[in-house]
Amino acid sequence: MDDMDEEVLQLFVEESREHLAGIEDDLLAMESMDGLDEDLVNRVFRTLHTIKGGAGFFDLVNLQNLAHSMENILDLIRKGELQTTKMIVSSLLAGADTVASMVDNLDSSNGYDISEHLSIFDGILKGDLASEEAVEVSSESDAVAEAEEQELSPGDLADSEQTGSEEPVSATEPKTTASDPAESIPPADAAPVSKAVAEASTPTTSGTKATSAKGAATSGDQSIRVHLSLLDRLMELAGELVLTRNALIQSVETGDPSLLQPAAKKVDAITSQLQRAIMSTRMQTIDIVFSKFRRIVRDLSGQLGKQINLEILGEDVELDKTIIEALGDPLTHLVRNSIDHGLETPAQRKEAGKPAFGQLRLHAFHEAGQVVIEVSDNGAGIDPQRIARKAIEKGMMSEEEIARMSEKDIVRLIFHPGFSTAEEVTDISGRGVGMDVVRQNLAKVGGVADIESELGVGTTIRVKLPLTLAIIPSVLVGISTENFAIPQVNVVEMVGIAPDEIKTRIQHVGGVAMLRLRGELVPLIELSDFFDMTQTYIDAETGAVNEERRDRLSDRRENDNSDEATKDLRRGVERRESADSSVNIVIVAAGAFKYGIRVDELHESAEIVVKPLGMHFRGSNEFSGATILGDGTVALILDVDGVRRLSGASESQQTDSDMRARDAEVERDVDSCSILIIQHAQDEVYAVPLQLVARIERFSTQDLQNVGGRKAISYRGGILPLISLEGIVSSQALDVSAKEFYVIVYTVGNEEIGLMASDIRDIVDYRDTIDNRTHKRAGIAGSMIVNGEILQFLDLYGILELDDPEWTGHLVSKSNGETGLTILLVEDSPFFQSQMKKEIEAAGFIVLTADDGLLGLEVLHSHPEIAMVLTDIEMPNMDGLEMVRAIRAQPKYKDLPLVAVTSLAGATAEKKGIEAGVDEYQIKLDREQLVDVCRRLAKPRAVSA
Amino acid sequence: MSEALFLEDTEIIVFRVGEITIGLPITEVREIFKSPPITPVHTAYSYVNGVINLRGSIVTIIDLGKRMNVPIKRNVKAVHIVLVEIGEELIGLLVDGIEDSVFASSENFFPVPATVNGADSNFFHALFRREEDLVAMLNLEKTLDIDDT
Repeated sequence: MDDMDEEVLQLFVEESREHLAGIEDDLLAMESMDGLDEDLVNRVFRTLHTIKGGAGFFDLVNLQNLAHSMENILDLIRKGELQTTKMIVSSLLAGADTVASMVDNLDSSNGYDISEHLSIFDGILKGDLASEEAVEVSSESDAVAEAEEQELSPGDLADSEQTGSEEPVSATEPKTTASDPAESIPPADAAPVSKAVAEASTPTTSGTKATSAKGAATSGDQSIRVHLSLLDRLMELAGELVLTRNALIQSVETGDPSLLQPAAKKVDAITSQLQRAIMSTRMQTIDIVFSKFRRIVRDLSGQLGKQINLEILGEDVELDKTIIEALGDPLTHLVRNSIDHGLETPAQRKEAGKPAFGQLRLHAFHEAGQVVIEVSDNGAGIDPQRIARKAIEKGMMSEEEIARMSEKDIVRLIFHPGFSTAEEVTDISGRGVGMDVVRQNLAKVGGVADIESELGVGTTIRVKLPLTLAIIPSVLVGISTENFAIPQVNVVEMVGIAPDEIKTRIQHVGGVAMLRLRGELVPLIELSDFFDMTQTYIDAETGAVNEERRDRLSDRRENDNSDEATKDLRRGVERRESADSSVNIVIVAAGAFKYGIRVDELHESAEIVVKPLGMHFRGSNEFSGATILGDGTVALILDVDGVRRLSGASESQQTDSDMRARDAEVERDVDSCSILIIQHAQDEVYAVPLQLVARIERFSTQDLQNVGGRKAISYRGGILPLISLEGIVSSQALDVSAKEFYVIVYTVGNEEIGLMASDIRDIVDYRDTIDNRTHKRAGIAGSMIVNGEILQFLDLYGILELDDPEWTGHLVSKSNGETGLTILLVEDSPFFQSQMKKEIEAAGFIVLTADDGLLGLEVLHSHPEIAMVLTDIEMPNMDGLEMVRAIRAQPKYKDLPLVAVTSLAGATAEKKGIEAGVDEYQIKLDREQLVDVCRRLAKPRAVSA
Repeated sequence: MSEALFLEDTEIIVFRVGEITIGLPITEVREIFKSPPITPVHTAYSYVNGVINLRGSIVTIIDLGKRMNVPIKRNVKAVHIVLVEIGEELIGLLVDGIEDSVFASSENFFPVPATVNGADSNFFHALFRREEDLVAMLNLEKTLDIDDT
C-alpha cells in the first residue's frame, strides 16, 4: 500500500471511529423509544453505510459483510417493516462492537469470525421465529444460555420479546450472549462477582470500553480535539503576551520603573489566563466515561434479572484528560457493584415495599474546587454488622475496636486492604469487592473515595477528584529548614495552638502525641522523626556537608518506638512555648483517616506545578513529586497516605476509649462566627462576615450601569454603587458567565454598597481560629479553611479604600484627630484582636490589648487612664462575663463603660451580658458601630486618687 | 585485553572523589556545573544527597563518595555536579573537583583490581593510565543501579 492509500486508510479509520462512538447511544435510544425516530435510525444507517463503503474500497470483506447485514436490518426498521425489539437492539449492539473492534484492527479484520452475527441478522431478516432458533443454536456452548434454553421454546419466544420487561432474564440473556461470538460467560450463579470484574477486561462484553480505551491508546493519546474558540483565545493571549513582553523590555531598557509595575502586573494576569486556557485544552467532559454505563447497566441488569433505571447527571462536568482516562475502571467497578450487590431483584424489591425498578444514579458536580462523582443506588445497602463480623473474622479489627466504631466507620472498612478478596465467590450479598483496588486506583489520580450506606435504603459512594493533575492547589509549609507542599485535597484544616493551650490540647497517650480537636483526638506526626531534617545542603561558599544524616535516620528507623517521637514533640513544643509562638498543625486526611502534621511555618497556598521525581524515589511513598517554588528552590510534595504508612499511625488510635474519656474533659468554647462564602471567579472564593451583610440580591448582567465611571445598579428607586474584587484583591475578572451575578449589600456610614460576586457558595458557622498572618494584605483580613478550601476573609471596609480612596473617602469615617483616649481591648483571637485594634486606632484612640480576662484585669489595674473596655465573651482562663463582674465589683470602676463584642449576636447572650454589667453589645467586625460606640461611651476619666 | 574494555579511543573527563581519580567518556557527560544549593530529600538511599532545580526539571543528586563508601576529604571550594543521563532520567553526580579532559587511546586501558583506593571494583569498567597516575573509568549503570545498594 503506498503512502497515499495509507493516508486514506487512516482517514477511514478515524472517521469510522467517530461514527461508531455515537452508534451505541443511538441504538440504546432506539430501544427506549416507543415509536420510530427516523432521524435516529437514519443516523445509524448512514454510519454503517459509510463503513461498508470504505471497507469495500479497501477490500475488507468481513467488515463490509457485517456492516452490510446490519444495514439491511436498519433498512427494514426504517421502512417500518421491522419492530425494534430488545433482542434486535442487542444483536445490533453486539454487531457494532465487532465492527468497532475490526476497525481498530483492520489488518486482522478478515480473520474475525462473523458467521454468528450474520446468521442472527439473517434470522431477523427472515422473521422472528427463525432468528430465535439461530440464537439458540449458536449459544449451545454457553452454559447460561443452556440453562435458559429450556424455558425458551420457539413458540413463546416472540411472546417473551414483547413482554421483555417482565421477564428480562429469559428474554435477553441468551440473545446478548449468543450474539457475541467471542464471549463465553461462566455460569452466572457460580461467581457473578468475579465474573463481573473479569468481564471488564474482556473486550467483548464492554465493547465500548475496549474500543474507547484502544482509541485512546492509539489516536487519543496523540491528539485531542480542541474547540476553535479556545484556540482563538490562546492566540489572543499569546498576542497579548508578546505586546507585554515588548513593554517589559522597553521599560527595562529605558530604566523607567513606572512602566515596570504595570507590565509585571499584566504578565501576571496574562500568565494565569494563559495557564487556564491551556489547561482547559486538556479538559474533557465526563460524559466520555458516563455514557458507556448506559450499555453496561442495560446488559448487566438483563443478565442478573434486575430492573434498573440509570440516571446520569452532570455529564458536562470537565476533568483533565488523564483523570478521565483513569476513571473508567474504578467507576465501572462501582457501578457493577451497585447492580450486582446493591440493587435487589424486582421480587426482592416488592417484598421490601420498594418500586420494582431500582434507581442507579451517576452524578458529577463541582464542589469546593474539586469534582465530586457520586454513584448512588436505592438498593439493599450494606449491613454494618456483616462488615463488622467479617473484619473480626479476618482479624483486621478486634471486637473491642469494632464496638467503639460508628456504623459509618464500620462501613468504611470495605476500603481496607485485604477486606474482601476471599469472599468474592461465596458472598454475593455483601458488597466491597476489591474496593481497596478502587480506592488505590482513584488515589493514583489524586482521588478520594468515601461511602455512605443505610441498610435497606441504599448506598452512595462519593469520589472526590482534582480538576487536573499537572497543577494542583497546595499548601506550602516549612518544617525545620525545608519546604513541603501538601495538596489541598488532603488538607482538612490548619490549626494554630496558642502557647498556653499546648498543654491542654496536645496530649501524649501511649507514647503517641494526640491533638484535641473539637471532641476528637487526632494523632500528630512529627516529620522530623522520620526524615532527617538537619540542614544538609551543600553551600556553594562554605561547602559544609552534614555527614551524619544517615546515622540518625537509621537510628530512628531501627528503634522506631514512639516514645522517642513523643519526647521529640515535647521538646519541639517546649521550645516553641518559650519562643512564645503557637504550634501550627496541618490536619490532613488520608482516606478516612485524619492526622495532624506539625509544621514550623505556614506559607502561602499556591498552585504548584507537579514535577516527577527520579528513580531513587520509587521506593519512597512519602512523596508524590516535587515542585519548584517562586525562588527557584525545590519543595517536595507530601503524599499524606504514604506519610501515614511511614509513621505507622493507624485508625485504631483514634478510637481509643482512653483518649475519648480525656477528650470529654475540657474542650473550651471557641467563638463561632457566621461567614458567607462567595465566589468571585472559578477557584477564587472569599469569606464575608455575615453580620455585616444587610442583604443579598441577584441581578442580571444587563442591569449593570456605568455611573460616572463606576459600576452601579438601579435598586429600590436609587442607585446602588457596586464594587468588584477585580483589580483590588483579585487579578481575575468577575465570572459572569451565568449572565447573572450576586450583590452583597452592606452599609458604610449611611450609605449602602454592593459587593459583586459570581456566586454564593454557602453560609457556615466557623468555629476555629482565623489565620491573620498567612494571607493578610490590604483588603484581606485573614484566611480560614472550610471543607479543605482556603478562604480569604475580606475586609469589607478595606476593599472600599483600595477601590477608590477618593470616592469612598466621604463614606469611610476618617479619624477626627487624636482623641487621646485609651481603650482596653480584651480578645483572645489574634485575628479579631488585630482587626478591631486597627479600626479603633484609626478612629483616633489609643488601644491596649489583653488576651484573656485575667490579663485584662491586670492591664486595667496598671493603666488608670483606660476610658473604656471592649471585651470578647468566650476566652480562656477567665471569660468576658466573669471579667466584667470582677470589674463591676470594684467601686472605682462603677461607671467605666464596658462593651461586649461578639461575633454571634443572640438575645440570651445579650441578656446574660447585661446582667453581668455590660453596657452594650456590639458585633466584632462592624467597624462603624464599633467606632461609634467608642466615640459615644469613652469619656476622659478623672484619675481617681 | 584492553580491546574488551574500550574498543575505541575516547575523550574522557577526569574528576576526583575523595582519593580516587575517576573518568567518564565525554559522550556520557551532559553538563558540568558548580553545585547550586541542594534541597535535602529523604529516600531509602543514604547516598542520595538531595534534588536540585535544573532549568525547571528536578534532578536527583548522588554523592559519589558516599555511594562508593570512600572517605571524602572534600575540597569545599570545588564541589561540582557532573550531569549524566541514564535511561530517560538526568542524574547529577556530586564530585569533589573537576580536573581535566584527556584523550584516552584504547591501548592505555587496564582491567580493574579488586578495589580502587577503597572503592569496590564493581563501580568501574577499567583503569586508564594517564601519564603518571591511574584514572578509574566509572561504570555508570552499576553506580546508579538502585537495586544494588
